Amino acid sequence: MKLRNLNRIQIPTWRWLGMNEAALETDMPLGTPYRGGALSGAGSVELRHDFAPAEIPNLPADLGRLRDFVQEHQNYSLHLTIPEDVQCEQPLILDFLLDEASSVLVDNIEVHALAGSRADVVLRYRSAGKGARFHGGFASLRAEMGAQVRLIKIQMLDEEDIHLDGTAITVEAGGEGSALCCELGGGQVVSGCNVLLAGKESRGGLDTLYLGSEGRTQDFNYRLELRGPASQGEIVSRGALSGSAKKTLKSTLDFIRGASGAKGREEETVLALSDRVVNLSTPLLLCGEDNVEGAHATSSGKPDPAKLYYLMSRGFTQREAKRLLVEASFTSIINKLPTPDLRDAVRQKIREVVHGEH
Amino acid sequence: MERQKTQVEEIGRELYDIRDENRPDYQVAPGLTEEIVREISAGQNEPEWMLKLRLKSFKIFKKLDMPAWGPSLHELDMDQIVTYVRPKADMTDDWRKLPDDIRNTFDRLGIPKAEQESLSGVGAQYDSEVVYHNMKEQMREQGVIYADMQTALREHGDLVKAHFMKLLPPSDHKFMALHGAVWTGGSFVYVPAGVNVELPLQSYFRLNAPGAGQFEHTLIICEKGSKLHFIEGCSAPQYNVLNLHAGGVELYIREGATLRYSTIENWSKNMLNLNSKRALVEKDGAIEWISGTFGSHITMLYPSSILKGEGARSEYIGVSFAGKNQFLDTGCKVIHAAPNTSSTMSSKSISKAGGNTTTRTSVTVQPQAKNSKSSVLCEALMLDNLSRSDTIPGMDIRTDEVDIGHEAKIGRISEGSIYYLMSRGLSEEEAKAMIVRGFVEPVTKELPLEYAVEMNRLVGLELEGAIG
Repeated sequence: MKLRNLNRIQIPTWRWLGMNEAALETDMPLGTPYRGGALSGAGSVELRHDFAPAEIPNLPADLGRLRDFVQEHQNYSLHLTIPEDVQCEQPLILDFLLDEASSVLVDNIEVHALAGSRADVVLRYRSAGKGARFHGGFASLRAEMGAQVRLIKIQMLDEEDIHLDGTAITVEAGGEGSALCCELGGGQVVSGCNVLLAGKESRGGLDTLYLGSEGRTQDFNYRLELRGPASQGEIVSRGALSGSAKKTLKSTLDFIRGASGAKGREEETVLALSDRVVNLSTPLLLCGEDNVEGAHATSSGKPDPAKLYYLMSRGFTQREAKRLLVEASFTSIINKLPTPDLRDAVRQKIREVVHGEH
Repeated sequence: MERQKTQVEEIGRELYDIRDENRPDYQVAPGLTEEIVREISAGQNEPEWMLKLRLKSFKIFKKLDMPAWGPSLHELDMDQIVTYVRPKADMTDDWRKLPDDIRNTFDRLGIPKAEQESLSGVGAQYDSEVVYHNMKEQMREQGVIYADMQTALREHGDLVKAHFMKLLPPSDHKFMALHGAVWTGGSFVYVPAGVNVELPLQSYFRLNAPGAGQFEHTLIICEKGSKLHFIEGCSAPQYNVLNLHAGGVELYIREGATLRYSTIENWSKNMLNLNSKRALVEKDGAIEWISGTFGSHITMLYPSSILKGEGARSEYIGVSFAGKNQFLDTGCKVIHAAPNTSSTMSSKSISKAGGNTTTRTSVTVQPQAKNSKSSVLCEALMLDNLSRSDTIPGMDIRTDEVDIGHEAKIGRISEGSIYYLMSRGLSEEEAKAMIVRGFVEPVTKELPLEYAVEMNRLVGLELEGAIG
């Protein structure tokens, strides 16, 4: 099966740049059952496996197609409702393991945070055993007035695996909703996220951490739509590429007319650790409202030689110094993970992927 | 309380909108057919290879699709466009020999005066043909060639053949193919090794005929260690039918040479401006693009630099100003194809009254381009919420030994800046005018004084009311 028109850029640009859309091919047996999905920390959160799909306003067409695909082939579904004014002290962690018995996961997750609630919802994807695996997923989050919710996705699949992922976040007036995506594994990765700051003074955004290594391709399409007056948000991406990794990042800040007083920012920092990497970026800044402040910044290069030299003069080997610099560039995002276990797991995966440490 | 807006006047166009009576010596029928392509070629009395290139381009034009990106070009109906209009004037090097109406047009635009005061040479094109071409004797003595393209084809045929549409092949895109099929007019410049052309050369393109296209070709070769500033100006009066401009500019910059290519474009608001410009820069050479885009209904213009030789550099400074019903999609493309190359792009855009600006850029760093540097800065000023301003950069980086940075900012005139300047004794109007002039100043300061004055006049900003 070939999936086309994935991750379409909001406004197309020159075709020869090869950034306008992504495609993905798989011969994995869609429709086979998935046995897994361990949930912890649910507390008073209401859970349903059968549910009618929620309406998602202003969902971009490419994510809409992905959502249709997931709904057609889903073998895991879960709807979480976080009751009004409930503060979840512990994160809800939903762990998915793909292995030889359950090599295909197509998950459809919905999170509805009622007014005044607060929670971190973590979706973690891992692989075990031999053979290729396929993950296709779509998660949506609706944050009502005064809710503060984060959807955290940690993808640690193996390099033979396909990861096709979509996220849609809608934040209503006075709410706060964000995504944190750690794209640490997978051989072919296509991941898109749309954060809609729909209501007045809504807050939100996206932090992402990605790793690319030998032979892996990644295509990311992140969009922050500032529609509510005085809404505020940012997209922050940190990545490291090694070997012959190929990464495409499309990130869009879109100020819609009427979003008076909105502020948005996007930033990408890429560390290139090999002279064979292919690093494509297109940070779009779209504006239909004058009373806004928008900015983006992108930088790409290898680890600063002066910093490497300094660390080596303090007794670190070059390998250790490089590792420190790579990890340091990710620290601000890793520190946003809600538990020490998750932070350690992410750090360990970085060492495996970037530095070959197992 | 309703927020008040900064009021900015439309650019005054009276000077540019004076029409001459349209009484061509000859023109082809509207539309584009092989017969028309052959007819244009026959009228130019050009070599056989050029006819072959035209016919090949025509075939490619028929095959290629319209661009799937950028502003919509649905209004363009090629069946209505007249691709060749010959004015009633023979080419001369004496302004006095031109017909009164054509001479008066260029007088009003200040071209003869500029030639006397600040230029090394001038070419003036009216509709599809160059009607005036001249260069100071001193430049001739140094071996500089500055000629209209048809003369260059006759007198320097081998040189032209070796370079013509080699940087801009007709297969590049649909409008380059169109250009290859129907081009006429334009300028050829050859600067010998080591020659520094101290005063700029200028070509001015005026399109007077309603519903016509202009497809001039500019070819410049700067030999080793030479230096040139070339200025291109263009304008047309306003009509209620579409006009089309699809020119081609090819620049060859040899080792250690520097070429500054400045453009002040003020086409009328019925113009589709789909121009293509490309520079090939060899070792330690430099291309400097200075670009001001004010007119046209739709512009798609992205000068591109291929940094082929080690140490080559490219600089782009552009400003665009879009008012009502304008879609100005501009920017720059750079390909780093050799080590130690560098590029900078600085783009400023202003949009008002429903105007649309898009800044579209690309930076490509090939694997062999070690130690290359690129810096891109896009700044957009929105003067109301009827307008749009988009920034669409692309970066394709294929090596680790690079230093690449991209920044973009968008917003309106800062109230804090106004307040600060007023606290230093400026009136509110003066403060706003100063901020807007400061915004476009990186472009104006790179132009010769006379052209900076013209650009400031084109900006034509009159600020009233308060900042909301």
